[in-house]
Amino acid sequence: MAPLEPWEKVLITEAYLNDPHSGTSCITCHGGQQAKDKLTAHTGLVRNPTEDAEKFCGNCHEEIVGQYATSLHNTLNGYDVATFSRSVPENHPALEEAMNNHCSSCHTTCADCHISQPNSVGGGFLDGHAYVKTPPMTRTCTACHGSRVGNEYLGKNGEEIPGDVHFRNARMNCVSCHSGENIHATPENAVFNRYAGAEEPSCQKCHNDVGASGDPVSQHTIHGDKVQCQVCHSIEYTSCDSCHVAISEETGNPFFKTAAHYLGFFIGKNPRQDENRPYEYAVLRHVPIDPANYDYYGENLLPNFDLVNTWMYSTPHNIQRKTPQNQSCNACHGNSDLFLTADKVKPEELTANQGVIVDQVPSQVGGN
Amino acid sequence: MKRQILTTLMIVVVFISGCAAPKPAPAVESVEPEAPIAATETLADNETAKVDYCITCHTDKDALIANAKPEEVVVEESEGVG
Repeated sequence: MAPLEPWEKVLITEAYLNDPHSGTSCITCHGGQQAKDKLTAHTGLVRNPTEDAEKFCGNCHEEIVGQYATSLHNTLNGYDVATFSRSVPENHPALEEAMNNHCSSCHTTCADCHISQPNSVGGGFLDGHAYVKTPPMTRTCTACHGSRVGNEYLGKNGEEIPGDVHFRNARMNCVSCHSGENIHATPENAVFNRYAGAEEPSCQKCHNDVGASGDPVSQHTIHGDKVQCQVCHSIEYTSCDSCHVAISEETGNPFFKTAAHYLGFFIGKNPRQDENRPYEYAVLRHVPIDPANYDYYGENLLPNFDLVNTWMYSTPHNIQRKTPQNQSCNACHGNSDLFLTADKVKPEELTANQGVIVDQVPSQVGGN
Repeated sequence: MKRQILTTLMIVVVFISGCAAPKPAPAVESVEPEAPIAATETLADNETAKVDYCITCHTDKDALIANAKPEEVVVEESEGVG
């Protein structure tokens, strides 16, 4: 969708005038004052009152607002954990400054999904300031989760790489799997990492006959819990290397520079093997980190870089029923191209990734 | 006999009319949302409080175009995929 014109971004339409929320005066939420001229009217204006969700949304939507307080969309805890785990406490203030400057714009408020589209697609009302119960996929979800999830799901990674079967064949959107409850509330055991706790959503929720008795696909039973579903059913996806951040001397604005951005498919040892994800093998994505990411904010801010793998557990959103690796047993078994072997890892990251590197590619099986 | 036929006919008519499609409900006047009050120079001071200038301006495309600040051209300094 083309970016909205400046006037269009703030045009209140009939949709809002018919919305139950319009019963409240504008000033009640946005501050400012009643005046004919813009300057006076906008004095003290609060652009996004839902930054204080408890005050402005909590009266009516108490349960959701209460749950949202610890949601990863709100806290962005994943960034903190991933960064601090590679550092030491005395470096945390400098890292926090860096993350406030460069990462916190991803923090999401109620209005960021239900009233407006994010700045990454130009901002502006979704529907004339009406509250949109189910945020539209491409104007909200993939506007933020675009370069990886969005491109994979919608098939924007090149003609040879189809989009996800759930989108191509069923036109499912994000909330078909990621329910509003999932998005608003992060389970208690996953508040520091989205891949902790139960798989949510899980493939089995819909495909509950997979691996069950009577499943006609014997490979499902053979592999059981040994491999993550995506190992057989996803295709090439995006990885990124470093993301160096700094403040521009010219404009004073924060900026980033990511190094390589590439497509590939890498099966590695599962770094999150537990009762919820018991798989021995999982697909791994390189995340945009290297030891010098935050050098602008201080020297050697990630002294424990090697404590955390840079090839991470991943769930590419480009599921296919048939993939190159599931055409036959030996399309995968013995095919070292598919596996994250040591030669595919940067020498300076070998220690960090020793737990996920595949030393011995599963050998070929007889009879194909 | 005539009376019997007449009675039978009446019963049949009543019975058939029961199967007829229901009459459409009387049209209810659609309630238009309260139109924004236009801000005019002629409003008396004691009426000013009733005017919602926020809605008046933000529902007026021309007023928004006239008042829009030109968008700053942001020089993209970041490189690579975010």
